[in-house]
Amino acid sequence: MSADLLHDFKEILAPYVKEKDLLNAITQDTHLSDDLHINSSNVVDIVLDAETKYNIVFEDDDFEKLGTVGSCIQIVQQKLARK
Amino acid sequence: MNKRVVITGLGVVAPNGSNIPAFLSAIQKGESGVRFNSEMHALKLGCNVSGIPLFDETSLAAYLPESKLKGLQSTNIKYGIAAALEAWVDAGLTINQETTDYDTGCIIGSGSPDITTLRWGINLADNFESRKLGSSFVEQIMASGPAAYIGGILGLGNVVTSNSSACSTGTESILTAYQKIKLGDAKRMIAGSCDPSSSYTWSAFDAIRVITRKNNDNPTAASRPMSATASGFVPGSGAGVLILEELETAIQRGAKIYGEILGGAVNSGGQREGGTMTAPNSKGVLKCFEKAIESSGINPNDVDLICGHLTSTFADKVEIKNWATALGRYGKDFPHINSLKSMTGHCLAATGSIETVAAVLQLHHHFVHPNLNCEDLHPEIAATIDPACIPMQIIKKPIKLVMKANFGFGDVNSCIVIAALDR
Repeated sequence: MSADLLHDFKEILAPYVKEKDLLNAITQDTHLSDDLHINSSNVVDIVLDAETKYNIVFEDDDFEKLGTVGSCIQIVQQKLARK
Repeated sequence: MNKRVVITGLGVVAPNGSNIPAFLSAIQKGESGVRFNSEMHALKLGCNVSGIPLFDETSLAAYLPESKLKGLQSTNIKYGIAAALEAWVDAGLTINQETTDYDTGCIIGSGSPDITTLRWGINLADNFESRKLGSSFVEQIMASGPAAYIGGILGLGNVVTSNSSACSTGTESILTAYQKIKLGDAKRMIAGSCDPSSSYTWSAFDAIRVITRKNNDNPTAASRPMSATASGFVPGSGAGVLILEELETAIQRGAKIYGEILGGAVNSGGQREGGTMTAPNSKGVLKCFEKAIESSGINPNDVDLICGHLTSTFADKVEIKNWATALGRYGKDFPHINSLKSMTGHCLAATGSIETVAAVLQLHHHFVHPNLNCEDLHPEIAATIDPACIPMQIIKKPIKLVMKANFGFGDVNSCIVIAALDR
């Protein structure tokens, strides 16, 4: 996984993480709700922010795969590869 | 249960002051918050002036997480949160992050959601992009949006709701909250209302020609309650919030007490006997005043100050006659009367709560605020009450008993009676 993508994705997640110190230890295994305590309703905002940043579109099926930071980045990578 | 209900906190976001200290200073000096509105001008509305608060949005960061602030557009919700939290802190209360407060509730009314925000969402949907509405659009267009945000910030566990009765909304909210405490259903209530800054809402009032078109080049002279040259109201926005509390609870915790709500009335003229959707049934207004006097058990001769609805329309003279009839006081015997709208314009659903905040400030700080722009008093008003009852300059004197009324489209009326605790 590209370190740049992880860094970028941390910036996308930041507004939705109340406890900012949790952002320091983000890895691809970090879970959005279990570890970062992100409100489930904010997942749609994170998707919209990622879509804007990378000029991609998430499909309905993609939403079901959004659990860890790694799974989010994987979807972004796949969509960027297809461009 | 028949609990006594007192006011222990005040908060405001008004066109002439975006917090209590600024607002108090403005109403003492007679400073207008009515300004030229370039957006209304660009939309080619007849009226190009409005009362919009000069609001510092960064103040909200103290209460809302970044994720909530990010998508928040609705100005009524922003104003409502700011006024509610100012009132909460003013009442000497703290923000509890952990537990639910089942003794405290919240009634925050609005006339409508922020139509400018609604327009943004409708444009996205019409462009087949509704998926881009984000997570907070629903909560921002809920009628209960302001109350829901405030309830979440403060962890309120009693009733958390919204009321809506056009320009009577604010006063109705306070009276509904008063009843909840009086009956023992809640120990403390956050009560008030807010209305958004939206030229799209105001365009509807422009279309029915109830807002002034004659003072676009002189904004501070546009809102002219009781004047012979009043030509329609000036649209405005903002929020006013009061903390109401059981007297015994307030005393127990050593709270500052601004005054006591003695009673009030809410009714409708039924859109009969001359009343319509947009014009009041004068008999209904009079009944509302009479019932407020009866329910609060006051002697009308003791009323020191009337804070009128007085919008700067033809209805002002009818309102004055009804006050005089209800109190049985005419000419020089009439109490002082003023209209905050001369400085703020008509803040629609927010007007009742902003004006009640102004009424309580006058009670607490012993003054009658000046009334702007009625040097040319309407002759029918001058024939009913002595012109000296309407102050052009601040009058400093003890105020012990205030009556405050508001009316709204739908032919609805509300009137509240507030007294100093040491009366």
